[in-house]
Amino acid sequence: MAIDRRRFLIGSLVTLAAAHEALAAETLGEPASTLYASGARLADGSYAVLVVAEDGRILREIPMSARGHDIAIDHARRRAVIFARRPGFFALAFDVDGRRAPDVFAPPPDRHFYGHGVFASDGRLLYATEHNADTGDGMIGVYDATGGWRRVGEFPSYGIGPHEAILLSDGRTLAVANGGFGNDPQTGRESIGIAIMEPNVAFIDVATGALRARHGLPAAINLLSVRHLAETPTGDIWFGAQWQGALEDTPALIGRVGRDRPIAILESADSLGVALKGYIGAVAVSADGRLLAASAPLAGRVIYADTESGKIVRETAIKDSSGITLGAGASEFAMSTGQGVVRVEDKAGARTATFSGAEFDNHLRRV
Amino acid sequence: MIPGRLPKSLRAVAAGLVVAGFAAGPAQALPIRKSHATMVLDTIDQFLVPRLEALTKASGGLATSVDAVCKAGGDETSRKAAAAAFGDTVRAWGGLDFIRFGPAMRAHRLERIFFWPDPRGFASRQLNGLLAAKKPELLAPGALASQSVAVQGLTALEILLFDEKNPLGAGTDEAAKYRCALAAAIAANIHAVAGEIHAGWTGDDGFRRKMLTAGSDNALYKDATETVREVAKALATGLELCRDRFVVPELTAVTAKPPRRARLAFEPSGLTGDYLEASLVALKELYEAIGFDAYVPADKPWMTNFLPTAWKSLLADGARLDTLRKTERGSEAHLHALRKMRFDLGGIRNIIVKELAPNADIVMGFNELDGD
Repeated sequence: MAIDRRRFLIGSLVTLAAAHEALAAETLGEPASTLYASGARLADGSYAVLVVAEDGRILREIPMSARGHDIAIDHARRRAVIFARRPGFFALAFDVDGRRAPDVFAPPPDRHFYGHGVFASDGRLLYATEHNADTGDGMIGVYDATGGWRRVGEFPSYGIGPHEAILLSDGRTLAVANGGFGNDPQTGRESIGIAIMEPNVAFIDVATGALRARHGLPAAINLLSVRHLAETPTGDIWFGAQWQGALEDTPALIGRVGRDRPIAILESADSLGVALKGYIGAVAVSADGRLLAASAPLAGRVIYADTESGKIVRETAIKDSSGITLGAGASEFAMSTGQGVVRVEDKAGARTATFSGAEFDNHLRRV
Repeated sequence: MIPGRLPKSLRAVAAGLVVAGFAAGPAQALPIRKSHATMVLDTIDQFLVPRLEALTKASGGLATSVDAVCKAGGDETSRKAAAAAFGDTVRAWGGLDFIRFGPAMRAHRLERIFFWPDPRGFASRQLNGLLAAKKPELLAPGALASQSVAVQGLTALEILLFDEKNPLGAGTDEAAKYRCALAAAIAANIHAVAGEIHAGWTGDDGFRRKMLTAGSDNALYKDATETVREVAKALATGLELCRDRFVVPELTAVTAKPPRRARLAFEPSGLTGDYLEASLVALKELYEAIGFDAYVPADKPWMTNFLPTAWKSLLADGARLDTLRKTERGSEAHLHALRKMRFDLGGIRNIIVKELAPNADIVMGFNELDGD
């Protein structure tokens, strides 16, 4: 099945001209404030990726022809790639400090992005979650990150609808959240195959593309689409899920899994499934590994769990907040909202910056 | 002072009572600013329940008429009657399938009534498997409910009922008889699922009651801001579905070089346009049941004229789209209708989400409305 992507690519290439202008206007001095990046919708309805400072400055605004989703960060080389959201037909690579012009690249005609990807630990390759539109299978596309963003290979995601993929701290294992359902690129974002969902977390050796382990869910809760992942320093993988069934049937939405350990749903969150409206937008683990933060934008809450005990320890009320990532401090998190707010908080307090006119998209990353 | 400018504590009281003062000319009825609770009540009682009743009635007629095809040996009159009943059911479902909360979301009822999108022809393949196996036990009442959702609903029944080379009920061999009996079982299943959705809304402990009794002791909805958000989101979802299922695929296909054919819902039965039109008409009714017209921002009076014009244009283009597709596919008129529909669907949706809903204190955040 060939996917018509002309309008997306052409749009992105055209907007790159504007991006050059934006880059030229930027000051390249080292900012003192912690920086974050996120996709956003701007006041005029257009889409962009923004690099913002915690002190409220917008440092970079790179236009995009369609809505972005998550951003893969190569911290060592100060660069990043934002993926178009599902079904995504482009990715935009940019220099965090604005020293180089952005690049746009696309998946092959019979593939689309799912909105997430991750750099290899040496920065030479980029792995992207993709959909094989012909077969419906989930794939991991491999792109040359040393220049040109050529697609150099692929391997299965070992499930349907791969969403977030993270490279584990061993530098060799890719953990993939296979959400369990796909979509037809022709009809956009409408889910298909909900009734036959078999979500899982797959552990894949990136050197060979071989499956090392795969853990699914009990049949009773197989409508729980595992979407977003975060690793603790001790190697636990925490995930946030999205329920595809009726609200009143919603189970707990947060769980833990390991390469050699099956999925365990966070028991203390059981009663929260309905209250969180069946939806976790993103998860992050604090730098010290002690806290998991999970955003629940439908409920206007961010909840925190102790990664040792698995207990919910506190929560923050914040409207339409989905993006969540590490702050600069050991137990600090930064969260972004659809109202243009970036809030950085820990147990002791919070700092808030508002970026007027920006609506931040699902994911926020520290850069 | 208009209600939207009242202090929040007073607004809820005022909202149900006050008539907005900014509407055009004195001859026109002034739109009532409904409270959230009234918006939900009116949506359920004036929009949803009557449509559920219509679906139950139409699907009942479908079950009866498909059964009659088999009993009549597939004579043309009975097949025409079944095709007409199929159309009634498709139109009834077109006005409901964007209601993606409540009983339709349980037990895969949404997909069991209409399995779509189906890009890899899953329904056809699974149906062929059943026809080859000819298991008699699948014809028993309720037996199909445990089978793949792809073979339970309108998608599968359409394949059987609108196969011109193999008219339903016409053959006398075992395969033809089984085929017809399976079609009757599918029609009965559609009726059963429609009945479940209806009962799920209207029963003593039904979803209607759950939505109308939002409160601290309600596990699903804490207040009417949550229930009204469900209703408003369904409207936004419906507008997106019309755009993504019909308008954009068709526009993309006819402007491709070389032009392609988009695979649209209900093409075998020729009901693509009927389904779309039924959806559009229903969306307009849902918009009116919510009472969004009363929430045009005072500083944007142009919307008072724009919105009815956009709805009117949308409904008119929707009504003639099928004819344009059949008679002059790819013509300027066809392209214009598609582009105008895309514009109107997007424009109405955006005004609802970004202007009317916020002005009515209905929060539909950027991530909240369409996350991933």
